[in-house]
Amino acid sequence: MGLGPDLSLLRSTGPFFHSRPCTSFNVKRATTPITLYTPTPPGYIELLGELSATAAYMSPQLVMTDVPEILAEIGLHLDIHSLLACTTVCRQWSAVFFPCIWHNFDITRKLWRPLIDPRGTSEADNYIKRQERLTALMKQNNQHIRHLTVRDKMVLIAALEAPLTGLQSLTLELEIWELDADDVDSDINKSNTWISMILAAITEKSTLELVVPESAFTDDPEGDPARLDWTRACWVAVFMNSALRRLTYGGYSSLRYVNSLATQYLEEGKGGSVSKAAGKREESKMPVLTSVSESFLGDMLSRLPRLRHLELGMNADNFTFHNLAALLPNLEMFVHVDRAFIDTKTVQLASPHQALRILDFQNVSMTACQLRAIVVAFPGLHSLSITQARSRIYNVNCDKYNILTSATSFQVEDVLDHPSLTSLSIRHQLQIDFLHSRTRFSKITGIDRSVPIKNSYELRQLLWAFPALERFDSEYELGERVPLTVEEVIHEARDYLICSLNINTSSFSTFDLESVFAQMPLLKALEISGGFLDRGSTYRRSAHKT
Amino acid sequence: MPVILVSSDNQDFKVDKEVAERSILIKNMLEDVGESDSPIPLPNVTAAVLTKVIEYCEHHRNDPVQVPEETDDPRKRSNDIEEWDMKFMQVDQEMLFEIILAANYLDIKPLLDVGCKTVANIIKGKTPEEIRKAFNIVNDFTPEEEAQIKKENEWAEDR
Repeated sequence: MGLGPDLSLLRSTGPFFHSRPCTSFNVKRATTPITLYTPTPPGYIELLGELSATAAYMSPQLVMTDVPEILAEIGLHLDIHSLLACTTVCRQWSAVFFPCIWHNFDITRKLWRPLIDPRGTSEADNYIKRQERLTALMKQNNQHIRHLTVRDKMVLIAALEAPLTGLQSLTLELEIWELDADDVDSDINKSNTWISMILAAITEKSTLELVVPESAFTDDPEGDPARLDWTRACWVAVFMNSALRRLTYGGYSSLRYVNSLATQYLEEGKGGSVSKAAGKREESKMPVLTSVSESFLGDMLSRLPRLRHLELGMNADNFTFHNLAALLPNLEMFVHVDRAFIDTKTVQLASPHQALRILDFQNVSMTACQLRAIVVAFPGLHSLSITQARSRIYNVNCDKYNILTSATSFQVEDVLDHPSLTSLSIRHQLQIDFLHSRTRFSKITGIDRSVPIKNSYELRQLLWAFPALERFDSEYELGERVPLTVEEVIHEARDYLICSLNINTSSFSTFDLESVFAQMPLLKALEISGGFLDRGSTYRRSAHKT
Repeated sequence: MPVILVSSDNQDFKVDKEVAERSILIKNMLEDVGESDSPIPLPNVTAAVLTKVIEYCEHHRNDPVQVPEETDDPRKRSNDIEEWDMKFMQVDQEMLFEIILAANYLDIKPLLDVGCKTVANIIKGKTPEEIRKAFNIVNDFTPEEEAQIKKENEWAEDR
């Protein structure tokens, strides 16, 4: 006991707020005496409970604070301290806001620490006691916890021991260096023993070996055997929460790869030559999961039918990305954390994934044909984000689309037009390959980050690709200036819908703000800046049309 | 093609289909009914509230459709409210509640969110007594119960 607020007394009285007389919001409510503890037959309360949602809308006297579902919605926007204050306001608020406190339970935050380290106990108190306190706490509130972040081994143990019936979102962030035991008496060692006992207990009861087979994970001889247990335990946590809507697992995993670094070291070691090539080879090959690991991962993801948001790293994301339509046809958001390899053939051949709205590549170097593949594979996409890989080793040549045609013979045959994309974000994409993809995005009105442009031909292509552009910044990402004159930019842009134009140019020519507005009747805001390198001065002029 | 919405007090509102379809309830209704000119009755929304709701939908007619999963992310959630929305929400408390109820009923998630954020911002930083005062709520706890809850909440207080 003493583990957090025990409001069982309040909860057991049921939804007492329904038995309160309907009063108008203002004066009446504060002055009408409200009888507490009115004994109400349980059947009556149940009936009212069912009717309350409808009744609330039908009766003009009821206000929002009387509708529990709205109160709970407000609770989503409150911090813990505000929520705690809300539980002390009145009985109804107490019942509604108490569960909200536990929605985003995260014991690694200092705020929550007093719950497992109560006053008078020291942190060194006792590892076992702290673990037991945490497990008891999570058992007690298991139906309220919606988002769980596993950054700490204690949390993973507790999550396996206390089934979280209301869990919607799981983030797995166990750090690899926290998994190795140093000495026998350490807490780490105790937790390692604990997790292996949990896994053994689960294995006895169910078919763990079938669901999370050891053979799907690496037997990296350099690693601590406990790593295997922890990685499997993470997947068991996923398996136990099949109603998950959101899963984030970007960190360490010991899934087994055909060409993993560990495998290479083994091979090299056997051959007797640990060569410099090992590092190089790791770079030159994209890690590919073994077939056992692939079928494990595929099986695991197919067991999450309600999943809408998936953020996956550890090189498992390539396999998942290429099989998205088959594995998770209802997914709405996919974040590809690790280096992405877009095999255009696979992506184009697979049946289109209709449900996906948001696609985020955090580490990719995308070519024109890869962009085309994505446009075809995800016709319902609203938002695409491309962050460039540091190295370009995975670039795939695609001669068919990658030819830079001359400015005059710019061909528009074989054009793809993405029907729904409204947001495109490109970071560090140094080459503008995507402009040569003959792909148009006619719903996009502005591009996040400016796109480097070297000449009027590239500008023409860019504007062609984004025919609905309303805001346009012509400058290099790092503030470098476009080697085009204002007149050249206007010449290309004047037939478009641009209403806000920002030109940061290194080539000055004479121009007249009035004539710019005359040439572009839709233009409302214009900013022209640049510098005279020879004179070391900068120039800035902006104008607004009212 | 315009759609005609009828408020609870029998006022007709003619709005663009695109605007009306910001409400998922209306969008689904229109999909079920198919092509039809018949007005859509909204018996739970008064004309005054419907005017506000339509104003919001007009302003946000071109917004991309929200993916719920994105806003469910506690890390990405913020209580930032767009400037226009902030001004839009500068209404008396009763109207604020009415807008929230209507947004919930009509299933306009972004409007519901803005409304709830506005109320959340009123609650933030207030003591329980100040919250009661702000929303005119009667404290129906016995003194013993109130003391008990306060004691149970102590763990989160700054040490």
